[in-house]
Amino acid sequence: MAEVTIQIDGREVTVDAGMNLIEAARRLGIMIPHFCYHPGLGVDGNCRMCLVEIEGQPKPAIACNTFARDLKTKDGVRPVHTVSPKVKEWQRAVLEFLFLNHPLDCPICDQSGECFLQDYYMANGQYVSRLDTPKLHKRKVVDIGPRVKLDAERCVLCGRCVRFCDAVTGTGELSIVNRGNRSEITSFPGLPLANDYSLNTVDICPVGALTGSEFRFRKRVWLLSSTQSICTGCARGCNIYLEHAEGLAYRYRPRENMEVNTYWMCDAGRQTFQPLNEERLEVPEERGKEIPIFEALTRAAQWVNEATGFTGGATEGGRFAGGSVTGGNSAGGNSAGGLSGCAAGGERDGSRVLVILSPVSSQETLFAAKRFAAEILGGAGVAGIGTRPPGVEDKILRKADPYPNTAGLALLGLARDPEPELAKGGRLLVIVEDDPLGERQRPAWMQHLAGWERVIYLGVNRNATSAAAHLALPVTPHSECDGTYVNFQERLQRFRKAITPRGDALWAPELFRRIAVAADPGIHAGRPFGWLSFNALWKDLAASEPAFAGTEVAKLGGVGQTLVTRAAGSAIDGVGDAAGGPAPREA
Amino acid sequence: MEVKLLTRNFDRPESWTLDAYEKAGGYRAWKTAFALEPEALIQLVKDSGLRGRGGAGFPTGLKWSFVPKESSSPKYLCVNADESEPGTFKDRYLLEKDPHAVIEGILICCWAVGIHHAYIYVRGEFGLPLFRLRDAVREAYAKGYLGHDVDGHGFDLEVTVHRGGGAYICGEETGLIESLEGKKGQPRIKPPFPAVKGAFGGPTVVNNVETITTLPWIVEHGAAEYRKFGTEKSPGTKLFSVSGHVVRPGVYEIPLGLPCKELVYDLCGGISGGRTMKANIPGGSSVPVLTGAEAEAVNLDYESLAAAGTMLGSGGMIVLDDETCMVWTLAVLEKFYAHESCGQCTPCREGTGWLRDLVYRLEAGGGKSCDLETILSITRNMMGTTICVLADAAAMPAASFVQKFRGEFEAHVGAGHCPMRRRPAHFLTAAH
Amino acid sequence: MQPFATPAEDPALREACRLESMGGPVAFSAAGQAELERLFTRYPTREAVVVPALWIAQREFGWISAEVITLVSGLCGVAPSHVYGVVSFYTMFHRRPRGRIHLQLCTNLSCQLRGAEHVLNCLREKLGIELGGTTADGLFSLDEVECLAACELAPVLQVTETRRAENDSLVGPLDGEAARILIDELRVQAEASPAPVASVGPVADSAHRCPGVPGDMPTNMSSGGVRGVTSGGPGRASSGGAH
Repeated sequence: MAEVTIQIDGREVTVDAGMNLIEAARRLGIMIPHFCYHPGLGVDGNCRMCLVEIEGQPKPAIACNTFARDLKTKDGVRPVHTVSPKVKEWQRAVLEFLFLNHPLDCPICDQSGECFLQDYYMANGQYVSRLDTPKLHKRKVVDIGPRVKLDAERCVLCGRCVRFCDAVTGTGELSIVNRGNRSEITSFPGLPLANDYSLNTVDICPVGALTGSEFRFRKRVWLLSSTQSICTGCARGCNIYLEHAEGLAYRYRPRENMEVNTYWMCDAGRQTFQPLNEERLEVPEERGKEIPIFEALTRAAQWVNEATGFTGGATEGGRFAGGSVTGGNSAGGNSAGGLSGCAAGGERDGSRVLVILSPVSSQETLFAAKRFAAEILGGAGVAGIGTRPPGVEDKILRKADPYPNTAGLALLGLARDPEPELAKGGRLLVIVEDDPLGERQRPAWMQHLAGWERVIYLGVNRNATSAAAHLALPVTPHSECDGTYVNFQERLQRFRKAITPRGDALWAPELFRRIAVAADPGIHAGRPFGWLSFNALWKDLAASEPAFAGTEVAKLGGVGQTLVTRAAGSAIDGVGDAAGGPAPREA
Repeated sequence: MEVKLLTRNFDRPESWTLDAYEKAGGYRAWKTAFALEPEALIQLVKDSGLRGRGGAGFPTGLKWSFVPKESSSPKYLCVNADESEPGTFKDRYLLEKDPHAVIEGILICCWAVGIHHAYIYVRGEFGLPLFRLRDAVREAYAKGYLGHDVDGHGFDLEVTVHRGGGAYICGEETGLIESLEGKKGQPRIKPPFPAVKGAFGGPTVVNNVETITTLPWIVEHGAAEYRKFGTEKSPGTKLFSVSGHVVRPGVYEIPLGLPCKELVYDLCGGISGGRTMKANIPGGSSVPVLTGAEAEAVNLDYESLAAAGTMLGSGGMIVLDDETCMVWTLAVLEKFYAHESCGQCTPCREGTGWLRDLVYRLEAGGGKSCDLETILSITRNMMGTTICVLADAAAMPAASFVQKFRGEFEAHVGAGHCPMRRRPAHFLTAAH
Repeated sequence: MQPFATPAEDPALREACRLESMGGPVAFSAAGQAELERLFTRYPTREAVVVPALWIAQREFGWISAEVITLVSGLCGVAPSHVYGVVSFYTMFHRRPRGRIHLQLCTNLSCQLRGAEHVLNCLREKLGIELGGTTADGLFSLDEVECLAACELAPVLQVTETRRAENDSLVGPLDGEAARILIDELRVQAEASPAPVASVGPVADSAHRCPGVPGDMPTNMSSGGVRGVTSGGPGRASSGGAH
């Protein structure tokens, strides 16, 4: 469709003729207040909050249902005002109407701090109250679904939640019943709001009418920090904001990415933040007993050397174990892929060593593990498929593949079932983030593990596998480091470090490097191994893995990019690299 | 002076039967209409100057001409028989007494616009009008006036009588369409207008019963004859339903432009009990009220009433005598609008309830003098800010009552009770 | 990634929504089903049949329960919550049982101007119930209603026998005495004829029929001593103009 140049508050913007004024104004950084309109749900026109003044029209117009083309007349394009005295007056009037029956329980309202009523009142309301008729009382704290609570008094009846259940999930649990000011959101008895996407209604509720049962009253939202991240619940890799405070993750909220998850994410995905807080492996453990990190690194290095028959390396003293940074200075050039000088396979024999990977790991961890196996473990076998049972797949977002980085594992050529090699037994088994012994996974592997002299586990959480390992080493989850995943579309997506690593947890590539350093003092001298930063690792990865050739991770942007299209030469479609910017509450 | 265009058959015995209608010359007009090209028929209706009789007064021929000739989705006619504007009962008379004239009007409209399915949306509360209409439709089908190949003209027309569920807002044309589609009757945002995208996604004409029923007469006698009645800008006749404090309440067909005085004092026999007219709501409860003196000076046509600051509306005239309390009257009306607001748009959903509560409080004697300014300010904030005009319909009476009868409102505040009524109305004491 | 269990029904939700149960699933009679099938052919969507189906249901079951909504929802392919929204939006669908004879008194302006308030008080007193109530014997329910478009009959009362098809009729103009006499007459009539237990099909089968008040009561109430007439009663049109 043709484009139109329109004028909003005296500033010009050229937009698609079919774009509405709320979106057009957004292009100029002008926020027109609104409740019922949502880009993912379309125009409804009921809240009347987005009234604007169009020159030449006596009546106010709703910005959501006024499109750029509507402003064209034969005499030109009519200018639009969003902050004129008239508009302010209209907005004040609509707010006053909304507050007529709205309870003033803001201090104990969980929406406080992210409530559109509060924000708009702050910006445009502020009148001397003349609301002295008794307020209508409606239902409060209703379990409208297993994960959502309704406060009908606070509801502004914008109908976003109803339209979400109709248009997005097609489940239609919600409806507005009664009419006039007795109108209320409700579900049908016996059919609660229980769909797999129900918490999106909480996100899109502009006020405190729908709140998440789980998050409710756990944290005032202004104390939360927000970091761009990726949901690890399935192969979709929904773009999210990871919201956290004092080192704890509190919730996931979907982040707009039209190519991946549009505006939504599933309820199950939202619950996957729990392992970031609970049952963490914070300190290394040797057969269930906590040990200091140096000791653990030394032990690991020693086992690596013994298993690969390497004799030129670390001794019991383990003096190098903690000295990584000083060593790094001399290795300034090693990060650019200068690994050719690395220890030759002739010195180490990896035939009795196996590394099991998992698609739960970031691309960086997988790449580092692959290198570690090749160079420090003497060309040991390295493979993984992920042992979790498939999850639920639907036609909206959820994928059956329960891992965030299955494609990334495959693109490194490592997606193989390790069971045949595992079953043979050997001297050293390294399990990276997989939990085969976990519930509903591969209990049979317990017997295989018995065939290995030593088992080292690298992971985020304590679990059945960590308990079975001889040595368990903590690594950082995606909340505590930068990283990337490749989703099922082969789209490379970036997550950002949100929280300081818990306990002794190390970024997995760094952990590999430290083991390597501890295992082979020669690494400092001229056989470099490892990377000192995320960017350095990616330089190496892009140069050495054909599937990622040419990837400039720094230019990935907030929405990621598809590897295959990139290979075809299309432009990078990232939207900047502003991980630290403020998180908008919604699109 | 009454005239009998629409009411010409009302006095015939069993006027609602096909037999009686045919004997009176019924179903001749549509034969004339079929002989015309659709464009010529639309032009005829345009020439007649017929304006929508439901309340808005939009020119009928013009409305038809907005419907695209070619359409990929089926076109529909919705006949608005959801008569529920307080004080209006003319359509009930048409449906009860001359349902075949409605059907003949439908035939004419559908031929002109190229429609093959008409729905008659009858308000849910109607009993007899609905039964008569259903019987008439059945008769018309049996006689071949409806259905496949109407009367051998190669034109198909289905007519379905649809009974609503009881909601004032379904009288609004897009509310009616939503309701017809099986949903809550909540008006739609416009654009798109029904002529482009209406019922079931197809281009749709929504016409009031009275508008539709006027068509056979216009076709039979011509636009020029029709224009002999009424005024230059408001041609033709209009049914007025008069109720309240008049001696003979009822439906009267008058040429537009008739002095209001003549309708009230001559046709309706004046004010009951020999009292005087304090106020007059000329066009259904939603239009601004006139004082008795204003009403006596006004003529009943679109322009004169607009000049007097009110509207012709649906022609549901409510006459109030000098013993009526205007605050109580407004309380009755605002109770209605608060009950009937569909609840979609914020200003209407909240504003109607707020107005009601304030007027209740005034009538009950607990009002404050600042309440009058608050009411006027609420009405300003409601008007023109919503999807449909129900907010305006609630606001206009409130504003005009307070402006024109301010003294009475102030007397309530001053006295701390209603000076004119001994017992409080039931709705003031009951929980609502 | 765990599947979520459906929680127990929330009693608070149910209370505020006032949707009652009939105790078990319901089904339309063969006649009702046939009528519904015919209706489906008259509309381009199944959803459009929701309101007509609710009318049939109300005739067959007397009121609209949660089970009725489930039934209509399934037949029309509309989510139960939306059918519920529709039921709650329109005033003519009863969400709880009403008496055998449903009295709806117009309390809008034209009727109020002519004494609806007084008639209401007389009806309340005579029946011993408040607005919205039902007599102990289940015979009468009294509700107020918005303008019935019969203002020339003001104050006007709509009388409906709930389980019979389309028998609504208007009685007016009423005064206190006429209202009391009407109740007595309706009671006598009702006691003389058994309450309908099964539904009856569409009744509007004769062009000449003047549907009256419940049963075979005379439609012209003036014969029974009531001053008013029913709308369209034989031999007499509504009072007022247009003659």
